[in-house]
Amino acid sequence: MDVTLLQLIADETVLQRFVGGFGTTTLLIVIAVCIALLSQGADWMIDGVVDLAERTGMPKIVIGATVVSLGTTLPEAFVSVMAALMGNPGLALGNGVGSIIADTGLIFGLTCVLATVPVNRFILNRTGWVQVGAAILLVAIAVIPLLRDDPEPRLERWVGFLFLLLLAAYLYITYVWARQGSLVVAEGGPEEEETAGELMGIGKCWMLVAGGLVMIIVGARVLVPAASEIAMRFGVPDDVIAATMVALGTSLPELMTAIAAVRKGYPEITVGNIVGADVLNCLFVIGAAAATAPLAVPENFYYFHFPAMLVILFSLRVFITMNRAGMFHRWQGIWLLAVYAVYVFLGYYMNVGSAHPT
Amino acid sequence: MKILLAIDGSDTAARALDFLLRFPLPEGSSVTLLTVIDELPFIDAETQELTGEHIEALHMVRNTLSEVARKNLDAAAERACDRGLAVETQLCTGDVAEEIIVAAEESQIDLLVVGSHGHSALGGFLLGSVSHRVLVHARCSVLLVKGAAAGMTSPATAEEPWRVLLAYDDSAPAREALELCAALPFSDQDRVEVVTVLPLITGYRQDIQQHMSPIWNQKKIAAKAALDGAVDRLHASIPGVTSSTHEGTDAAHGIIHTAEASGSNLIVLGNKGRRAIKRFLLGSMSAYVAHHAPCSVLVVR
Repeated sequence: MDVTLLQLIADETVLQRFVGGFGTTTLLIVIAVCIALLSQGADWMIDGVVDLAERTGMPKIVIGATVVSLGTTLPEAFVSVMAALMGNPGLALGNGVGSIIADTGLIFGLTCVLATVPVNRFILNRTGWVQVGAAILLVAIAVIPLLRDDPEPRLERWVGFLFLLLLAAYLYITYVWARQGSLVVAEGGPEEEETAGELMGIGKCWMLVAGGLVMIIVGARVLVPAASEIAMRFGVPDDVIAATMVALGTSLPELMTAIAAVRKGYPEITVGNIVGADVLNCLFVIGAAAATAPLAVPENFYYFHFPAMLVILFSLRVFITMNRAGMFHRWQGIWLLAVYAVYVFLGYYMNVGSAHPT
Repeated sequence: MKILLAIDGSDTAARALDFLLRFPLPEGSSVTLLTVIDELPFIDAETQELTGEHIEALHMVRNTLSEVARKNLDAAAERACDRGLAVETQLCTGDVAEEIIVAAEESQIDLLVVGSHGHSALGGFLLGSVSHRVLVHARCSVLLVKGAAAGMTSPATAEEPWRVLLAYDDSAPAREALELCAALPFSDQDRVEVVTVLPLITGYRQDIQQHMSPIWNQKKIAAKAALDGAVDRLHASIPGVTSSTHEGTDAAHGIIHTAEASGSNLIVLGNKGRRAIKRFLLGSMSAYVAHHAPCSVLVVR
């Protein structure tokens, strides 16, 4: 096939055909490489952006509330927006919902098993309710067309813009809460000024931002058709592949951060990270995707993905209420892991053979 | 304190003995000198149907090795005796690392001393497989003596003072390490630096989130308080005690970096003792530090 690089970048159908020509093993390797590009690209981009932000004198609190918290969700966001652009709503939605389930079920569950995670009521009674609220809002909005007997329920673009607006409000309120939290800190804390650490050369900063961005875009661009192709070969719908393989891949930053947090003895960081990531997966990832193009909601979501997401999030809320002693228990982590495992298993078991071409 | 020193006639073993003899040991300490002859070259005559000639040759080799080992042990024992220590010698055959660990357990040894590598030398900074296995699997404290290769700091002469770096994080193993240090009869010229490394999660700039977290700041204050407590504990017996805190990506890196910067000649740290899955996913910090440290390392259990 005589294909130019420019064609590959610009023309979707050419890219899809090109990817379709790969053997299955090659395809899986390609997917793994894309995931690596996404993860590393996000890391470098955050490094660059944070450095640039520090140079402008932006207080660390603001940087933390915006750039850093959005940072680990960049892979999910780019993949879902790319999927929406390329006309693959199942993948876009599946990635968002699947990431919520992977973050809460697999990553948080694993953290609870490996370490003692304290119940941080400050975070869980604020961001925690936003997390549950956003998820319920998403499900509610998706169910309304169903109740109206709409044969093709969709998340319209206004839903996307609504979510992005809510995202802006969320980022602002996160900043307010962070300041509240740090005032508590300042009362009993050390007198040292939070000075910006060593800054890199400004050229290096921009290189990291640009290079990271390119990696993320390329990674997302190739991942979407590759994942779609694999879904067809496995005989499962796009949303199942997205909710399992792709979601796990794009949640790699959260996973690596969680393991680092346990290793270094600060598992409590994971509470804020995962709860925040769940909110962002809803408002940022799905919001941006829906704003790009209206997303048709596949049937699968109403009897599989949405219920699973709600089960995991409700389990977490129940655990938070149960844990009077202030710690998450290991068995709770095992429960979350088990729900995740059953979700992945059922995803394939129930859906093999029901793949429909998008 | 009951000590077991494993020697095998190599240079590193000789340096380990030198190190031990210079070390400030508590009054009434005893040393068991152990040599394990590697069993591998010896073929079981019954399973291999050797002829009489071969069996005789094997016996000769065994006996020669035993004799050489015996002589080496006796020479080392004499030096230890001169230093005023109660000495015992032991010679056995078998898997080297295993025999060392078993001997330590049977005699209820408090401190196992090994050179960083024996005859399987690759030189310099690398850790031999026997010393690594002993470090990881022994049930008691292990002192890993590193040779004086280029860039390695070790007390070059008997007069050079000890510059000890005690890695402290207020955990139970760290407190045991602290108690061990407090029990050692250091002199007025010796220095002990107590260091706490606060680990930062630098991936995806999570360190910014960390700094914002009230728990982080609580931990930082608690760590400084614990550090001050440790300094007080040591100050009674060691006048030259200092302390410092550092923040960094990795506690292990931080410790090694500080040791290099301070020119320490011994690192002391407690062993967190992670097992199985946790160890696989999270790694062993003491093994890492032992491998990469620029000086000898004492892992306290």
